[in-house]
Amino acid sequence: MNRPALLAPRDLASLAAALGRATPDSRLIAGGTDLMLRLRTSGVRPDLLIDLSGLREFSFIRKERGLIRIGAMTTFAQMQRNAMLGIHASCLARAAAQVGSVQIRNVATIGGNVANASPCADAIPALLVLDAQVGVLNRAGNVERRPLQDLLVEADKTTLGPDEAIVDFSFVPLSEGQRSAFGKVGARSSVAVAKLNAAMIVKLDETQRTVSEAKIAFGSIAPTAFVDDRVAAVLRGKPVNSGTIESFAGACSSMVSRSIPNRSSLPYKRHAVRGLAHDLWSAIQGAHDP
Amino acid sequence: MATPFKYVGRSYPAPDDSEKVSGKLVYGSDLRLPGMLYARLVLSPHAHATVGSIDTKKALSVPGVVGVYSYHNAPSTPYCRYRIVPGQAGCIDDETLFASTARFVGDRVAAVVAWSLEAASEAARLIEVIYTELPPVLSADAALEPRAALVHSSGNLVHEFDHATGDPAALPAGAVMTCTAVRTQMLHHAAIEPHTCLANFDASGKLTIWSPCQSVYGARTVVADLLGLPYNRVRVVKVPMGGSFGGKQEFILEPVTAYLAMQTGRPVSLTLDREECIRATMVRPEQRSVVRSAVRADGGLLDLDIETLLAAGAYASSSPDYAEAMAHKLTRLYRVRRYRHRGRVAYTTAPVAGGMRGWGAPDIATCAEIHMDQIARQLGMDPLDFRLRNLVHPDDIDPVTGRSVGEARVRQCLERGAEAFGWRDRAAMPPGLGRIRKAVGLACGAHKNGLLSDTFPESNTMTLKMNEDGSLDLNASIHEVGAGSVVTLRTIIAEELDVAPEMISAREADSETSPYDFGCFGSRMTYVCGASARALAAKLRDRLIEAAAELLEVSLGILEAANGRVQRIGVAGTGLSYPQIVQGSRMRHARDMIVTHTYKGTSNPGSYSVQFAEVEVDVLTGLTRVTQVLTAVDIGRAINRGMVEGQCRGAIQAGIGSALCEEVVIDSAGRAGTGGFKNYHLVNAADMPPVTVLLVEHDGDDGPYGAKSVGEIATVPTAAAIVNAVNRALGTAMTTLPLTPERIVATLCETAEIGGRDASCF
Amino acid sequence: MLLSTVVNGTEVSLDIAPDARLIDVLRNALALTGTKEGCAEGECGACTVVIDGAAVNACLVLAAQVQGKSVLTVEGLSSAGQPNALQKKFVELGAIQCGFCTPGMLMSATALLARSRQPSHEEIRRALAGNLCRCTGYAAIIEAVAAAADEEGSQT
Repeated sequence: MNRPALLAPRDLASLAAALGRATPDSRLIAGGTDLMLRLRTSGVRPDLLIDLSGLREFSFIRKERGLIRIGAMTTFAQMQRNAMLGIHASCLARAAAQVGSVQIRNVATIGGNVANASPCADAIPALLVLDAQVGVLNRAGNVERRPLQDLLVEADKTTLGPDEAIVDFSFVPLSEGQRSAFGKVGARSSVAVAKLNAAMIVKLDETQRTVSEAKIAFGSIAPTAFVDDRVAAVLRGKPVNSGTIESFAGACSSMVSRSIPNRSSLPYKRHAVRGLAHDLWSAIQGAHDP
Repeated sequence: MATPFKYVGRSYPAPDDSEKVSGKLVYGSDLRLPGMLYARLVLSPHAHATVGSIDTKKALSVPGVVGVYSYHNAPSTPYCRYRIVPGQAGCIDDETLFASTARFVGDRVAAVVAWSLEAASEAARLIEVIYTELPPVLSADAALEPRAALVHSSGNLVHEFDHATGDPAALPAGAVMTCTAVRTQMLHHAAIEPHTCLANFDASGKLTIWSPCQSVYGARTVVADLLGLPYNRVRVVKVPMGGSFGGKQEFILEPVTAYLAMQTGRPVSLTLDREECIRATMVRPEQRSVVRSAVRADGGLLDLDIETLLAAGAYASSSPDYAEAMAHKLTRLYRVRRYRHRGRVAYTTAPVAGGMRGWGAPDIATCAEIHMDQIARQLGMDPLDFRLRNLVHPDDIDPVTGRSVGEARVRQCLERGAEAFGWRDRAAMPPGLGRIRKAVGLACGAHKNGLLSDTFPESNTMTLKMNEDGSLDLNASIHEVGAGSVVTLRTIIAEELDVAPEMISAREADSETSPYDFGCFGSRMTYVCGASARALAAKLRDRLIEAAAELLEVSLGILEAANGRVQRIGVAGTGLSYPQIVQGSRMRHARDMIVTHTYKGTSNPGSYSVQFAEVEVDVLTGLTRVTQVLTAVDIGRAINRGMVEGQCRGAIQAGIGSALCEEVVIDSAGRAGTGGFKNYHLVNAADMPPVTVLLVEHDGDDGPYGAKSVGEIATVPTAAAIVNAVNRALGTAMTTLPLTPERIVATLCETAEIGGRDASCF
Repeated sequence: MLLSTVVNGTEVSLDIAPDARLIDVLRNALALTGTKEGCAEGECGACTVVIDGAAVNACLVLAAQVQGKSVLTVEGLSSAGQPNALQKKFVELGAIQCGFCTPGMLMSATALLARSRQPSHEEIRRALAGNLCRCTGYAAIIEAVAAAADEEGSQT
């Protein structure tokens, strides 16, 4: 039996060097919660495993130069507990808190979640609505920043080449008056893969009675998560009342019908998304200002 | 806690709990023998196909591989995985070690044995099988259509029956007829321990099998007969079991593991992964049932007519008996004028069905209790009152079996449970029109205590000996499934002999050394084996008294056994201690304090549970939260109170799952259980509601100290109580389980379309 | 490759395959069969161990990744053969039936109690949401964890 070679880089330079040795049959392993399962069930035998767990410098959450930057090896447990994220990017902190179980959150990383690119990934709608940039390292040792949406073109696979690795995510923190929320509908209340998930940012005007800004991203519908401006537009300039929320829920439902007209899950999702819409709105109303 | 006994009725940990918390208890897949080999199975990817040539060259060249087996080199003697006793009626020999025709996705096509699990897995992937696909038959309905492909040449209808009590009679004026069609789904037993087996065929020609099974003698029957070995050259040892719920009760891995051990002459260990456990062991069958009734205008049940269609899967196994067993439940629960039950069992090219906790009682109770609620709705009666009008009374004769239901306290369960739950007030509260609809539901269930019938030996033999220091060894074929059998028997013996339970040591079943017991089936453990242990202990007590009388040279009549002594009646501290008797009697009179007793079961009363559930249903996401469950169980007498309550709680976890989220889904290609627990959802700690357990205790019946069974009855009415609650919350009549969010949303949208109301509005 | 790690307080050096799972290294190479395999996909939690204080599913951890880390398994809970408070409460309060989920439950609870001295019942439920049990209905397990927290709290 052929065993994979194993490289365990400790810093950016050695990671770049490891990427230089990668082929299309090589695999990066972060927390391992997705990859270990895939290796077992698919019978795929990588020629090389690049173990990212030794990259301590990639595990951080900080504010620098007006941006929040999160290292790719930061776990969901770390993100869930981070006070700054809870205030300045609460949709992402909430998404992190709802990934799997405690055991999964303790090892699963934001980099791995994005690189695995499951249509149901919980972190991705939150990162999209925050307009996150992804720092991508190549074998030459250069880190290039790309918008997250550019990496997501199909289900279960990013546009990253075999010799590229995500090193961090960065985004502008929520500003004063901006509130965010994350919502998820699964088969049960916890430890469930999302059937629907979404992240939303809303800002109300000075009177707090009208929506001035809205942005929303949906996952678990299309092969990749996406920002939907048509739905967000339904909220902009509208008064904060139950009529607006009903229109919002209806717009979410129409969006589902547009997106997956032939999917067998359509009847369920176009109805259940109304629940998600209401949940998001309640979370927004209860959200703190930064 | 109130108990009139010294030991019976308290709560006890199990003797091996310290090993469970230290991680030292050795379960089947923890066993390691020197020179042990590992097996992996190659399972059919097709629902129906003839198996052609099998190219094993690549597999055999993987380093560490010892052998590859299939129908090409293994015997093709058919057997029945359900046979426990030789000559057992109702057993159809339709399964072989390896398939020459694959009859479901998961059918055993080959096995690889290697020095490491990795080598065996690698080799299994390299085996090349030529299949010729045949038309699949994925449902019982499809199987019984005239042009359906045949799963077995004997035809797709495996079994059918039509039983009725009494003759049809005219209905009185004003009688109300109701009809309900219910679909109960295919379920995975979901014991956390996967299926496993270890076998060794040693140089002396003896086969030893270590298996977490429910009958060592049954495993022996199947394996010895199949491999042509005398029964005393096949030893089956019951190893600690990480749960079964019936899923390990049929002999699925023992035959093939034993065969591989014989072929290789080395110990062979076979453990399945979760996906294999779901699709390639056994499932609770999918069933479609129709319940019809005629009821008097005042709510009195007259006639009950049931039709059930059971999908047996690829092999008949226990399905014929399972279907028949379902016809023996409802007349233990309700007084009816006439009961008719027509059952049909069909082969399908799907996972093999088998017994699951309750053995048809949950399935049929689900149908019946949804139906009873429907009748109540039609009559404008409170479902509680409808049940009270019709439930059996103690000592009623069950017209189907002709046996008494014994101390049937189901009415008390209903009344006490309803009061504790606050049924009247809560049932009167409207579910509201908001996004979250809240309602309560109830259901009743009946089960049994033992297997008293002609097909199975309802007897049990045990031996009890007392050692020189007063400690005791119980030698009995105990099959601990996690429900505390060892503790139950110890507690009973302790009570009878008036010694601390810790003084009694008991091992689990070993067909070579422990006397015969049929096995852990049919809720017979406490009722039959427990009664047997009581009689056994009484026999030892009598022997101790006789021996003491002899030693003391006094007459028997003035002595009693109390506090670990045989003393003058009522006078503590007199006479002799048990150790003194054991030692003295052996030295002076060559007597041994060892007794053997065979107990014969002579009754089979009903066990009962009534359950109340409160649910909150989100009409947008379709998610149902169970917010409270109350269970009232007619337990007779709790021997180990803590375990009885624990069993009730675990049973409810399973019942909630079967009502709302558990289902073995078969895709259009016939693949079941894809993705293991990722797709097969169990209720987890976050979703488990608070459960109140109410035990109704009284004397009577033949169980030890009046005890009746709990493990199975505790799960019988749960699903129905929840379905009834959800239907009351939503004003729906859903009868297809599980009530997943998708089904609930589809029903709401359908209802809204018919009613012309936008389902999204609330 | 050579794996150097600490398991239950003891330094361990092992030659392992680079793609070996931690659960297999524990159960086979180290004969620590207390960690159970229930599903191999990180859903049942029976394989939960604690790595540097965090509860993880050993079936999904690449053994190579515990290089230089500290692993605690159920065998490491007792000292000198004596069960700790948590283990004792599990036995006393009926938190065990078949026992197969017990090691995983104990490890998740251990990680929780190290982080949270007096967890509420709700916190305990959430901490154990990734540990499936088919026998007990969870209530006794949650009581046992709460009771262990109380006992340890009263001793400090």
